[in-house]
Amino acid sequence: MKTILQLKNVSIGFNQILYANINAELKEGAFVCLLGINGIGKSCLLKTMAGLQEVKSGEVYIEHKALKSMDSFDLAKKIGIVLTEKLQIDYLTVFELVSFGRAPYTGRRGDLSKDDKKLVQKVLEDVGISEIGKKYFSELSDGQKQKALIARALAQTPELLILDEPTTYLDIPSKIELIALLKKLTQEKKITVLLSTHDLDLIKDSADEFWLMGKDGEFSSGSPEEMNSSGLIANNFFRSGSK
Amino acid sequence: MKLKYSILFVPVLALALALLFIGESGLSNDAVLVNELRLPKVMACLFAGGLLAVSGLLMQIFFQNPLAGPDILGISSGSSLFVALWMMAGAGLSPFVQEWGMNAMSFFGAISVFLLLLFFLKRNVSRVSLIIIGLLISSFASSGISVLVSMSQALQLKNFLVWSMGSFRNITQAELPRFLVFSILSIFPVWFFLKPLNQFLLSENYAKSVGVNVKKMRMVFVTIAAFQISIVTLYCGPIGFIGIISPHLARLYLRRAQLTHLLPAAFLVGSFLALLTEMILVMTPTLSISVNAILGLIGAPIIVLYLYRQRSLSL
Repeated sequence: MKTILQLKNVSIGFNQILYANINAELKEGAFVCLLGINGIGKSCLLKTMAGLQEVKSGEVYIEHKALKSMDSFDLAKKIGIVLTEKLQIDYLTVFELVSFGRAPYTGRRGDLSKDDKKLVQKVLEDVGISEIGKKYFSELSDGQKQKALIARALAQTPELLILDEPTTYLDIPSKIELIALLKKLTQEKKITVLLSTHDLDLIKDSADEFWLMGKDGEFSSGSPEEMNSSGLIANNFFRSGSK
Repeated sequence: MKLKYSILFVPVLALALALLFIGESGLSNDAVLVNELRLPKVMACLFAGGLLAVSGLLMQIFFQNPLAGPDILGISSGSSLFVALWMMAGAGLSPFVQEWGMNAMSFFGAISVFLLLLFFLKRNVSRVSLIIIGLLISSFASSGISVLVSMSQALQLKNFLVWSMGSFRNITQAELPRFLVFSILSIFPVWFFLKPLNQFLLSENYAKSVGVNVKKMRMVFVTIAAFQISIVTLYCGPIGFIGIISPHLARLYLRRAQLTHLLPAAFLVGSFLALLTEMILVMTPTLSISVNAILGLIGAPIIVLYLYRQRSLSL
């Protein structure tokens, strides 16, 4: 299987280093879940991988090319991201929002070609929101908003989709639906999905791999079974005495 | 969509034409009156109103703040303060230096305030704090201007007071061409950057995630908006409210957020508000009301209504 992304001795952070020495790689079509307690730097790592934040040291490779040396539009064609930011925007339709994801491909003025429009429509169908394309984004439920933002990222036709806590504000059925949708994308479209979440129970059966930012500063990765049996998950998420 | 635009054009054109033929002295089509007084006034309304609206829209997107505007964030008053300083300091210089210096100072004042706000933005101040900082900058600049006024000579003082009241009637026939050229020059680049600007509608991070050079665009934004605001301030004085309410009215009317649609509509709404204000002034020649007084009466309630409608959102 093709390697989509590699982290080599990566340190992340804003002014100070938040987390150091991260080594990991993402394979094509993998469904990977990033775990770690609040404030450990999950968002920061995800943003760094998507090029939204600078790599403090070490190197991120996207298909063996260093991220630092990549053109921003080429990077946008490889990686799509869904952030935790709450968008407050009136009167923007779902179709328009999703079509914003075509920006790395459109010309100077950003006009959509016929093919672009078809692709946007197709992405809306893939995500299961084609019937609400004409609705305003601000009118959607939280679950629909999350799907629309995923569609926007998919419109970039990325190989890697990164999602920062996509299930946080959703009710349980929507959480399950969203995870199933992401799993489907990895299987049917061979898109690699990396997401951070606290919904461990819901995701453990779907995930191919866990990445764990341990509170001791050790980064580790492995299949959910390995990670569970090694006791790493328990150490990081359950207080001693419980479970 | 096209119909909505056409409908928007009607009141703008009607008011513009009406103002060409109706003056404070009543209905007349005296050529001198029309050319020398009314045409510059109508053009000032059309373009200054439009520029304020466009710059307000840019600022609201840029600061991700629905209350941002040239006046409320202190850009207009920063620009005014520097123009005022130049009026005093540049008094003895040649007319050429005086004029162009004024242009430069007005732009410099506007962009300084922008950079100051950017500095606070980098320190992660909240959106409400940013508005308060803007208001404080504004009151600082106004105080500075009053000090300058008290220090000025009698002749200067009159020009100065008239200008600092804000009016669409300050532009002379001779100044009109330059005002128009500047105005058009300051709008043109906005069209050029529509694609990245649209991406900022979501957020800076989302813009960056599709390849937009956010740092560069930030400077482009600030320069364009500062240029637009400085033109209006220089030729018309500080004009309130149009910049902040026009984008909201345009969005409410069009029910569209994409800038391709919204920008021209906001421009037209800005022109409309300026023309409407001027029309009210023409109809009430005996009361010497200022432009800003009328705009305040119209604008403040609109902002309150907007905030009331948006009460589910946290600012």
